[in-house]
Amino acid sequence: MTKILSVVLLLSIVCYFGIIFSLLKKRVLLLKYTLLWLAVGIGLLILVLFPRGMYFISGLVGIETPVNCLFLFMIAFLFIIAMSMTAIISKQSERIKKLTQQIAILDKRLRDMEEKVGET
Amino acid sequence: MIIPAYNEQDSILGVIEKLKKDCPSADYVIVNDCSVDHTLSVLQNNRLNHINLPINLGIGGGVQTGYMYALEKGYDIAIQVDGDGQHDTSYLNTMIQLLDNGETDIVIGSRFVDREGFLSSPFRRLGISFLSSVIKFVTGRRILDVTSGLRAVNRRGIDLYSKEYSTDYPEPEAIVLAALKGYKIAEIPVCMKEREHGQSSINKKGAVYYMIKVTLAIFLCRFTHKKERNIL
Repeated sequence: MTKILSVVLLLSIVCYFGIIFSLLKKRVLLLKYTLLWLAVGIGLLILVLFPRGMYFISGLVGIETPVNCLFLFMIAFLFIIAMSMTAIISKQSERIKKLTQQIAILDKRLRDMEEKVGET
Repeated sequence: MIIPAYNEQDSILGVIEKLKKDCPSADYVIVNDCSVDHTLSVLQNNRLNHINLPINLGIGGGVQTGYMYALEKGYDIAIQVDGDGQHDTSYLNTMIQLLDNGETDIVIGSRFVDREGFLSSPFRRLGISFLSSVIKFVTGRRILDVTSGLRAVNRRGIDLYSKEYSTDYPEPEAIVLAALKGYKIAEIPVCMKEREHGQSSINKKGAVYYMIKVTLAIFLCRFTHKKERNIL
């Protein structure tokens, strides 16, 4: 890894954290779901600072070009994140459905009560 | 009294009866966090004042609902008491007094001022003392029992927490939020009992995640509310 590349990557990672913190502060992101992205940022930081780690892992797994190994890991991570988001969306769907149903039933109870009061 | 309850069918009646003895002049509301056991039947059969959440929100969501209710009804003081019977309600009158004479905005019932009664496992105590240091670093206030759910607040507190209260593990963050806004916070020594029925919502595996998340949340809170901080 050339020095220039290292510097560019480091600056990119700093921007990455800056954007995440700014979004957290503005409450666009919830801390609970952002933790994983923060962890990945730290992982990438470590890799940029200690590139030999990547070469070692790459050799271990049997991939010729360390960069390819890095891409593999990053893609795998994206899969995992996407899957976890699918899980979160699924749960939210269920909760929204339940809320909708409760509101509908409440509305019915209220109308029944209004009718009763109207009769007296 | 705001009493959050999730699956507390065995404890909740006892809690209310003790409450009525120790603090008969106070109103209470039980926030039923979508319990799946017979908590709702117990509440209905005994005609206990309660709010039913249509979906489970966790302790943060439940307690915040209580604060919103308190705000709407115009209460002067709101006190959080756990629905599992661990909190000893004999201290309530002391807490109310401290708020009434304006000495403080928030009173926390702390297990670690006198170190009496049930003090939790050593593992948890380590975590609590770590969080206490984090809060000291971020706000300059030294609070000993940062996870205690036994808290009383005045109108300022009701107003604050009904609008902003964290959903996961809210207790430490709530302290930081109040401190950053310049509220007065006091701790009084209390004894707590070990849980008799039901299950706690925090387990060992979640402990590390809890630590990391709460610490980050505290720093985020400081980062978000920097400008509103009053210097004491």
